[in-house]
This record gives sequence, C-alpha cells and structure tokens, in this order.
Amino acid sequence: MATKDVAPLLAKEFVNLKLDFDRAPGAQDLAKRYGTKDPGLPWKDPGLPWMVFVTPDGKAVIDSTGPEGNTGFPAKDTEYAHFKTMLEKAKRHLTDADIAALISSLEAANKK
Amino acid sequence: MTLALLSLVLAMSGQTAPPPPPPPPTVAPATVQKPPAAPPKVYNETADAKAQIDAAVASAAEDDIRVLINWGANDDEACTRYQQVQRAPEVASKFRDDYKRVSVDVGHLDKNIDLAKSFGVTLAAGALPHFTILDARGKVLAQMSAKGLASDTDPAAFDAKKMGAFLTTHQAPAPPPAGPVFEAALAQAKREGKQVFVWFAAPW
Repeated sequence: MATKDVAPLLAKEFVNLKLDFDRAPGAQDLAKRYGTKDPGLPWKDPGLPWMVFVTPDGKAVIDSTGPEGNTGFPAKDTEYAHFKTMLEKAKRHLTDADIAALISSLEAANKK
Repeated sequence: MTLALLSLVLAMSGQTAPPPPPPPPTVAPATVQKPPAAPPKVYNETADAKAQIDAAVASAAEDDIRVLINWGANDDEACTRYQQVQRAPEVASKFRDDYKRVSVDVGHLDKNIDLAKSFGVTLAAGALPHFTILDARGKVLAQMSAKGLASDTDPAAFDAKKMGAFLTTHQAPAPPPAGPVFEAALAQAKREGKQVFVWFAAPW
C-alpha cells in the first residue's frame, strides 16, 4: 500500500494509519472494536494485515473481510474485487479512474 | 455407466450386478532412492550482502523495529550450532517480532570483511558467529561475539537466555499507544475532509 503508485492515490481519500497489532498498546482492542460484526459473538482474529476504513467521526465504512474472509494485501482476483468494493463504498474524492488505476497498480506490483 | 450406478439399476429391476472384475495384478514400483536433501544454507554465499543489509534496514524502518546481522559461514561448526538457539522459546518471538534478520557469509574470513569493518566488526578465527544490531536508519547500536553468548556451564554451547537478554536490551521501544494515534488520525481526517485507512499489521 506504500508503493509510489498506490500511496498518492490513496492519500486523496485517506489518512493512512498503520498500527502494529502485536506491539502497539491498545491496537488489538481497536481491531476488536471494528472487527466484531455481532456483539453477541466472540471476536475472531481475521489474520493480518486487516484493514478498515473509518469516517472522521469514528464509524466503520467497510473492512477487508470479504466473501472469502480477510483479503489481507490483495493478491488474487477475489481479493482485488473486494478491495475495489471497499474503495467504491468509501469514495468521496477518488474517481472510478483512480480506483481502476489503484487496482491495476496492485496487480502490477504483485506480478513483479 | 459406472459399476455403482449399474448395481443400483439392476437392484431396482430385481437383478444382481455381475461380480466386479478381479483387480489387475499389481507390480511393485521400482524403488528409487533419493539422496537426502541437503540442509538449507543459512548464509547466502552468492548474495550481495550490502544489498541484503540495505533491504533489511528499509524493511525495519517500515515496521519501526531493528536489524540483527549475523556474520558467519555455512561450514562453521559454531554457526551451525547457533541455529538451534533461534528456536528456543526464550528468543523465538524476539527474532520474529522485533528484528529483521540478515545472515552475511564471511566464508573463511575472506568474504565481506570490508563490509563487516564498515559496521565496526573485526572478525577473528573462532569468533563466529558475530552479531551486530542496527537501528531502523542503519546506525550500529550493539555488537556481540559468539563468546559473549557462550553457556556458563558448557562453553561449546550457546545460552539462549543470554541471546534473549541481548535482543531485549537493544530492541526498539514499543510503538505509541494506538488510542491517541487513532484519535489524531481521525482529527486529521476531519480537517482534511478525508477518511482514515486503518491497517493492522505485524513485522513478521
């Protein structure tokens, strides 16, 4: 996500916040807060990396848990598709062309 | 039509299926003896060691952790014994979570010696493996020779507790608490009319 092609496009829409799940105090509590879909069920560790888009008032928009589980860093078609869904749901500044360019950059980066 | 399907059809019509044909005679496959796989080499003998270290420093910077350089050689008996230490419970998580590791081949003290010197390391016979810890900008923080890690009761063995203490002493401080950092990101997003892309990751 930090590659020179991807980062500027993401910066149009997002403030980037990477949290060390194991070492940053409170990171796991934050992940549980946003990763628990049903408060009646125990939190299930989705695996890392796990991502969530959050509005400035702290509401989750969408996370990286897709139809086949956590996409992590998108690396295959179903994962690219879910990441695209995430971007389309969150977009306010990103254009469709930006999103297409982002997905293409990820695909190209994974082919290197 | 499969035999099972044929049986079902015949059973429904009141007939019985013919007995299955005898299996073909089996012939024992010729035994092929594979040579035992050679153990993987810890020290890459053809790598550009400087590039390896640079990559480790760049990677450590992304995760704000440190770099552990292991100077050694594949045919050095002490370096081979040291590999077991890495799997000891006292240090396994330290290696995994707190350090980017690089193993640099120094051959018979005839490879990458100038590179070692550039990190303040002067290697001598019997002193392998030698360890150097760098911060995330590549600055040398600490050195440790094999002798410094020797067991007090068995000088030929490595003491995992000593290795653990060395790694703990020089590991990077914990990242700041997530809560305030998250609140700051939300505030920045509000100012800039953006959202926050939170991604939870780990150095491993």
